[in-house]
Amino acid sequence: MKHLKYLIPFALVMFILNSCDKVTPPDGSLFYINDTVSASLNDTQNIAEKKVLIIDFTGIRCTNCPGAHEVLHQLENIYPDKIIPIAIHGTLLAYPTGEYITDLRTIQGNEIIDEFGINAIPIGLVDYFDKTYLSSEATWSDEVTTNLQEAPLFGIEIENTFNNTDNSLEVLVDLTSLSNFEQSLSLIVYLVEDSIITRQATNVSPGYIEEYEQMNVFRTAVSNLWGDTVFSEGSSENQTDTKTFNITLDNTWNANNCKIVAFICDNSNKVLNANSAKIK
Amino acid sequence: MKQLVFLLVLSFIFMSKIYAQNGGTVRGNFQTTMQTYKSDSLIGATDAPEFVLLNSYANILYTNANFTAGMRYEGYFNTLQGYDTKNDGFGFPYRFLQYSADNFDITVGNFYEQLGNGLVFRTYEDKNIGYDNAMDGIRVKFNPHQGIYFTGIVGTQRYAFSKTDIGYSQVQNQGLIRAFDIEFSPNDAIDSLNDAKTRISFGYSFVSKYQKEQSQFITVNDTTYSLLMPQNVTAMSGRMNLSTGAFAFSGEFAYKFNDPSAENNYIYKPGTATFVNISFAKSGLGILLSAKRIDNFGFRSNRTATLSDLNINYIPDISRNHVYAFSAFYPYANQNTGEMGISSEITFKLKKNSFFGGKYGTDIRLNYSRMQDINKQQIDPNIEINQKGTDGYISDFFAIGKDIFYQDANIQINKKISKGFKFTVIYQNLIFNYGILRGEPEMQTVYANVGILDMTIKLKTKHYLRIEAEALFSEQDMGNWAMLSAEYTVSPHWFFSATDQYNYKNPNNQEAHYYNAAFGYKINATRLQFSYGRQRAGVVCIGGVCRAVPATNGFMFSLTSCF
Repeated sequence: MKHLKYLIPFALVMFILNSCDKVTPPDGSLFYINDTVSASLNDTQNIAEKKVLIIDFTGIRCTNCPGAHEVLHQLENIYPDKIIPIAIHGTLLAYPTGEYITDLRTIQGNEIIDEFGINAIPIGLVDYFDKTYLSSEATWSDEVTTNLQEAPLFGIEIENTFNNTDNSLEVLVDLTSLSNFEQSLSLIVYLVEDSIITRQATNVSPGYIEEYEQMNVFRTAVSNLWGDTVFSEGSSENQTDTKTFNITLDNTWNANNCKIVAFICDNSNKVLNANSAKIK
Repeated sequence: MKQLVFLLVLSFIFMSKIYAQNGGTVRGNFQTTMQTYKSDSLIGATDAPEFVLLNSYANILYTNANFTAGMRYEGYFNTLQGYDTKNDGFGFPYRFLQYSADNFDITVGNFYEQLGNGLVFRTYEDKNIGYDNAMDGIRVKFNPHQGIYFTGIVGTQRYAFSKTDIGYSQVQNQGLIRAFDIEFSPNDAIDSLNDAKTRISFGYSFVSKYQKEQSQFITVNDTTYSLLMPQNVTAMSGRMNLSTGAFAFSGEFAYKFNDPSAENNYIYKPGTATFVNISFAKSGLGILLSAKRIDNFGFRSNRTATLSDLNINYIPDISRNHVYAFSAFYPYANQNTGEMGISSEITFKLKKNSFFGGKYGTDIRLNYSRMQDINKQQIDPNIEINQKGTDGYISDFFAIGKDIFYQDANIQINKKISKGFKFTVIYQNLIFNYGILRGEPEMQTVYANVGILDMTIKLKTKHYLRIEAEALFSEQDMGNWAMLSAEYTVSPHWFFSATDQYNYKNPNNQEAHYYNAAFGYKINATRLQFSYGRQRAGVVCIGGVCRAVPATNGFMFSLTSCF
């Protein structure tokens, strides 16, 4: 018995020595991939489908930000029409200086960045509107894949009516509760613009891209910046509500490239569902 | 909840102290730093919506015979600029119980540990760089015989201030770490070798991390695939220390199996790390030679972690850690994905009463270090170097990569002229690959020359005046800098200082004075410091691990106390 204790380290070694996975690529490939294409989701929901909101905090002078945009792009390819991105340009790395002349920051975007305490980008939020859940682009794929398995809790339909003559836009957001909620919820509606060409810093030589296409650039909040209360008494299954918003587009925005993004949050700031629709 | 139970246990221990014959001892310290922020567009400083920000820490350690309990309070109201804002909040993220007896030492809760040089495992904290990768788990140390030491570790790692009801270190999809180390020292184990002139010891470490699979996608020929993910990743290392007389040698070699991660762009190449140290020390002369080669050796408990989060290992930095403002202006940052380099240092003393030595002798320190990229070749003509989802690259162990990361050649002379006057002179010549080391490829490599003169004059008993003059000359980055600083100390209680760093010939025509005034008061183990001024944006690195410091303008107050 006295010597029993000497067995402890050996027991430990035995346990640990078995713990290694060595993976090998499929025959004839240099890529360590699963042979089968992985994206296969149930598309049987007809009332509404679950979409995932990704808020991407970014900047034109941020060298690692194109990497995050690439992750977004990849996700959009693999899950078509399921990803709802918003790119909020901010922090010092979005400040135009030298040859970087385009300012994509907004007062409202800066308010979000200040409130969330963001000082290093790229960073983002996947299906949350709360700084506790800020995550790097490296985890987005995993979060999106997980969240897309969830059943949709809300249906969101957006109808845009744009008037070319005075640049006015009416946004109708139809909400359908697909479950029972005993809490009030908030609806957040933003306007984003695609295909804005700017100079963008990158982490590959020569360190910048002169004509870079910025997508999903946050331009303005259509609802209150932090959201409007909906279903203030809670909601029951199939209960609906419609919210109407009116705004006028800035002359410098290209209405052909503008989209409305709407998402609905519970009181722990989790995004229950999101959707987007082009203005024209 | 776990924290609450722990608090109760701890308070019970303190209570029992009153009744116990031998009450044990309580030690601890407290530190707080407050800073106000004013926006200052000339230097790029921003204000804080909270106006004032504050970081504070308090450690308490209770020891009674074989038993130790400790905890640390941390409060960030809110986090100072330049530290990770994930920390906002407060709590007791560090607490442990430790018992040691009968050749066993058992710790439960949080602990810091280093195996060998840290190539495969090192957890530590350094508030200056906002670094803390404390383990939360169990550590058992066991020494069955003199000269034979086992260490076993299991647990998870702290991630900033992530709080859930299961503990501070728990985050979503947390990685689990299992580690084991054995060290054998024949000189201690075998009686006849106890007093041998030559001492030798061997060590072996084994670390395995487990993390659940995570989705990562890759597009090959227009088809998107998901990547294979090893869930268990193993790293191991062997080490040896040898010393005989004035010579000492230590070396460690580590190997890591496929570990695709955000840090290495999801490549599957096994990693290696090699670290060698040779030293010679004889009266008045010291020689130190170090070399290291790191090939894809970032090792984290979460494969998506970046920056200084969740590192399991630590790559030793062999470049000189400078203390003066301008010699530390461009510090080296470890490149875990690949680097190789050497460092050498010679220190010697010119004898007293010789021509150069003068009345008190002269200390001279020559230091040189150079870091380069490792050689990387394509694995296939159609696949780019470091292509995600592949083996990444092929690297010849002894071939040197083309990029220079860093070179630092410096000489330091310390000289005492009389009882009332001594000085230090430093000259430094530096090459700093800004693009790689700060991750901004658009930036040019910086070539800089730095001169420093530090004089201490004793005015009368307990009154000292220290004057520091520094200059940095460079045509790149922010251009030239000059600094003058005066510090007046009335020991042991007071000090007053005034500093101006002047940035001139700035390529962007943003010339600016960075003035700062401070005073401090120290009584027993408590120290107060108050300062006002501008701080330049930069990077502070300790041991090759870095934190970006934003430019600030405002008041700073700090209080530190030990008990």
